[in-house]
Amino acid sequence: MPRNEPSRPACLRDGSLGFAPSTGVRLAPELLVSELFRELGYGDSRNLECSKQRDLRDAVNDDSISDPERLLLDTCRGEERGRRGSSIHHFYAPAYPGLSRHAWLRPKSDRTMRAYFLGGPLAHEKARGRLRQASRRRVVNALIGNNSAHVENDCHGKEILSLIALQERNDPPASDIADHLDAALKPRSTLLGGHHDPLAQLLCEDFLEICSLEGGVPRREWLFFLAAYLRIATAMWMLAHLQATVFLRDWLLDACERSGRLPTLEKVQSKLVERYKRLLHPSSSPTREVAQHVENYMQSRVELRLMVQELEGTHSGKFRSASGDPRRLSLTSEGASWLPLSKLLELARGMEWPRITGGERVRLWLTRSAEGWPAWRSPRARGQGKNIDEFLRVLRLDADDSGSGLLDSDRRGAMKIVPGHRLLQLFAFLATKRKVRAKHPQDGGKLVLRDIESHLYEYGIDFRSSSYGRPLLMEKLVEGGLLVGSPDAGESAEVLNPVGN
Amino acid sequence: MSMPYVNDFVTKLVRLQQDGKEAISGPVNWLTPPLLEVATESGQTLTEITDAMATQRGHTDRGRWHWLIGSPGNGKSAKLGQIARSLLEAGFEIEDKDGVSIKQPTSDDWLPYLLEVREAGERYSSAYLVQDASVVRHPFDSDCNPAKDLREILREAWTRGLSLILCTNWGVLQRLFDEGHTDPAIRGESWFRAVKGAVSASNQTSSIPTGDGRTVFDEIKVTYEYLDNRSLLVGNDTFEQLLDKATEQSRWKACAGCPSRSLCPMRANRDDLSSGDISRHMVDTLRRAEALSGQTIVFREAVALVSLFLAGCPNDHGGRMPCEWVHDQVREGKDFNLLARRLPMLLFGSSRPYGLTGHGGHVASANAVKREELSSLKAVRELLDRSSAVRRALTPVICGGEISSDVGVERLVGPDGAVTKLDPSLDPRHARVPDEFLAKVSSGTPLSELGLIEYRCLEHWDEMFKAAEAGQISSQGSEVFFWLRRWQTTCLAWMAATSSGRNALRPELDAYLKFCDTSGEPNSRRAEVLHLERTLEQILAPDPASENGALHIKLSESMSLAGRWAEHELRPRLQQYDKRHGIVLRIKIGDVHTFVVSAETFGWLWRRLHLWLSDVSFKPDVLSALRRTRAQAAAASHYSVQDDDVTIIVTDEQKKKRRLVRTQGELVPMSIG
Repeated sequence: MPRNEPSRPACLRDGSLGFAPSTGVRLAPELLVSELFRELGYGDSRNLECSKQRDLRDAVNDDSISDPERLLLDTCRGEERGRRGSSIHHFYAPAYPGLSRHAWLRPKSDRTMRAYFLGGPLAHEKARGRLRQASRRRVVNALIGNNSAHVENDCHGKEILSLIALQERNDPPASDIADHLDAALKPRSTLLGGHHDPLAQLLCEDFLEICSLEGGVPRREWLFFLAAYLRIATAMWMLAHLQATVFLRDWLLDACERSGRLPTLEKVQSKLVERYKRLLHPSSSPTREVAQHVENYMQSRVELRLMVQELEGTHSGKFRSASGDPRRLSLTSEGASWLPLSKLLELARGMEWPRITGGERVRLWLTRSAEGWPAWRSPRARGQGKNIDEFLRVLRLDADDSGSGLLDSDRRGAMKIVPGHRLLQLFAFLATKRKVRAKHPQDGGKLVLRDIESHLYEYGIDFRSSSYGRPLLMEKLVEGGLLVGSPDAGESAEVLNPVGN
Repeated sequence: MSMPYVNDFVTKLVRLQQDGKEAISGPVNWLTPPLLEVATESGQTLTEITDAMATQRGHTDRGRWHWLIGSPGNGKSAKLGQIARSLLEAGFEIEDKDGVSIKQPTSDDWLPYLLEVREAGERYSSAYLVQDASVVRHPFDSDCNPAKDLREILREAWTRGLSLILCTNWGVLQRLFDEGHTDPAIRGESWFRAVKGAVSASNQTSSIPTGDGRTVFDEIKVTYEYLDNRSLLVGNDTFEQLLDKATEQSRWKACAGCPSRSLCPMRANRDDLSSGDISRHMVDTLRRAEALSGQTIVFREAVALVSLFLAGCPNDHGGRMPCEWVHDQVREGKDFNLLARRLPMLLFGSSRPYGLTGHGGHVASANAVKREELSSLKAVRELLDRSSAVRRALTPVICGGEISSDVGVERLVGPDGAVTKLDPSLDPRHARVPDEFLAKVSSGTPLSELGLIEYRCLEHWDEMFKAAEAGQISSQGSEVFFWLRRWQTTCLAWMAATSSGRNALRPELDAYLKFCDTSGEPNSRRAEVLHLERTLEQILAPDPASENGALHIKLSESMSLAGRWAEHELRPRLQQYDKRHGIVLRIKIGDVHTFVVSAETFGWLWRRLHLWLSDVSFKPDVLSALRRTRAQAAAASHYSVQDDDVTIIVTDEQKKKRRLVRTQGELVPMSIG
């Protein structure tokens, strides 16, 4: 089978700066919940003994689960979304981690939740010492259910869903979940090392807020909040993460062409820190913004590999440690097994490129070399670009009818930002909590439209710079019954926190 | 040639229209009282404020911060103008930072951000006037922020212990509050308490100590006046006062002896508006329009409307004074032009002068209809005598261009305006009104509500019908009669509506206004409220038959909530909004979730209650938003941890339902049926 892209140089392998793990299609947000529950409940979202993927819908339709469990699954069934053959197609979210044992991914499947969520913002915050034991306990308690009947073996005042299939669920013990969480968050190299990453911090804080919400609202509603959060948080983290490869390609190309000075560490850090800003913009007509991010990433990835391959070929010694092991690219020098970015850029600047390019400009040579690869020519149809593109479909409104989607797509695949009502509920809740976290006194500190805009902005969705953004946001908040203030108040119009106080 | 009769008041009145010179109040026109000055509830406040500027007269040792908070056009600047005049009368000097006095403005567009008030003989000012804190003070500043400018003014006024009269809007205050609340340095300052008071709107009066240094006043009394959503028509007689002022006998003395008087639409409108019945019906119509639009008629709109009724539309006048325009129309016998500026036509037909076919619908088909209508009128004109009065009157109707369809106040009398939507000819319940009115007119009894213009136009229509009959225009005969009849009927319906107050949606909107009015006796409405709430429950139930009509809330496709607990806690309740939100009803579900009921939605509920109406005719988007609100309320409620009287109904993929009832904490499966 012909290869889609150049082979990955050893310095860009797993854990290196800009490494983007594999991903794959997730047809609905319920699958993200199921995957997360299985990762944390059973330590792996895959079933290594079964070659075929299985989701909870398959479980509902066979005899492997009990009738009460089937009833419990039905309570958290998503809306109807098209038909598969002659039957109606639904997805199911597991109300409790025990139910996720009935669904799994293939052994060779990607583990997107582990790679881009647990191993992304959460791992970064844990590495910075901000996700402490108490916070991790909050996550575990949320998964088990703060009001679950089986915790104290008492039905009074307990969550109604926890009373269904109480005996059949076989939920994993809390200690197992805690262990699996710790393993998933084990210290590893992240994009910014131990530096402050506002996106990671916000996503982590928001996740903890959602975990704290469990027990405050019905379990079923909490699951939908969680699903809405996972789909937006994972997708935006992924989009932001892809930007790092684009930046790396640009810095390296500039260094090869010797245009300007090499970027300082501060400049690199600040660019990486801001990688999430203004990723998506609302517009009156559909745009290819999401597709362009994927295309940019894939083309940058091919070009980066080609340049690094040349550098590795010329300076092979610099790419290996004293023991002969390949060094991985990192932001700063973290030891002998790491190759700092500044060193790579210096090598690129010092190399005799005309000898390789045959006298052509590096940029031109790079384009000529890259266009030979299918992943460069058809970035969203070949290789990893196709997988990323498929995963990002989880942001689309038509991925489900729950109203937690963000993008409306036309027939040609162009997208338009249309935040669903449940997504706006989620942001109204998160923005309220953020206001409280910022020690904003509660006496009169009402949630206003500006807070929602600001929270969306921190996720990379820029409703501020487009003239179309605010009217759209207002319209959708009105439709969702969330805008209670007068629209005349503009950015100060009062917004309702959907879960009350 | 002698000078025609001209009423100066009418000439001045035109300038009050939205594009007129006097439409916006500002320091350049504060020296003289506005043409239509009305008493407001803040008369007492005015004296207090004037006293609070004086440091020497022993009136008070407390300064005053009085903030006028409202959206554009709400009358903030007009009130500030009133205060400024009162201060000038009391001997104060008002000037900008450069020493330019309000009495000698440098240009017509002189609009300083800040005015200082100084007592006569005093070197230093004792108060600031800020006419519009919603704009930025330094437009070319790289960091423009009206909230920051306001913060500086407040801090300065507080440090110096000055009185401050401030006009601003809600957004700037909220922004200032938000920025200040997160900054401990600002939050701790005394002046910030005034901002907090304004935003919370709970405590309307407070006192704050002033700065530590040398101050004019040691203490400041803070008061707020919220002008947003304050209706000038509902529970308030400001609009009636404006009408009374504008129709005062003394202002129309100049019309005595005017040869055009009997055919002057402005004068006829004035006579109508000073008569009890028509004036009352007109105000009622505007109240209904206000309810239908869900937005209060602001002061600037109210003044512009009065000006339109009594001075006509400046676009028609072509640079002439309104009286000159009337004289010309009378002399040229353009009776339909005069009719177009009568009250009924201005209210319902401003966007379609003469009452001919208007806009709306598909552009191409609307144009085709218009062409057909005009061709019929042209056919009639050909049959009329060349020197006849009816032909002279009809010509401008056919040629067009003399009467403007752009009369301003678009939101009310524009093509989709709130008053235009009350056109009685749109409501089948008033279908017989034109015929009844015509019968009344034809009976020969003079009708006080009709003037000479209307009678002349009725004669013209009569003659046109006769000409069409006599001319035997067979090829398009029926169409000619159709279009003539339609034109006449439309105008008659509007005339009847103005004289009798019959509008489209009248009973629904009157009921809506009655519900919104908290001043009435609540018990008299209670029964109807209950009926409406019951109706709402029925509409909201996804499948009433399946649950024997009992309330159940669809949480998702697979799960519904039912039981006595939900019935009680999540029952929709009709409530009136607080005054700050204007004339709006809301449905409250649970503790925090509300849904604003527009007059249109209320109208449907009312019709559902009183007339035969199918539930499927309820607007689907409103229904889904309402259901979503209730599902949100259910989600935010604590149904899942209630020990008793909670039922969940779970539907599987095969549509098989299972009911689980929770009692004494335990969950009991029950059969369906």
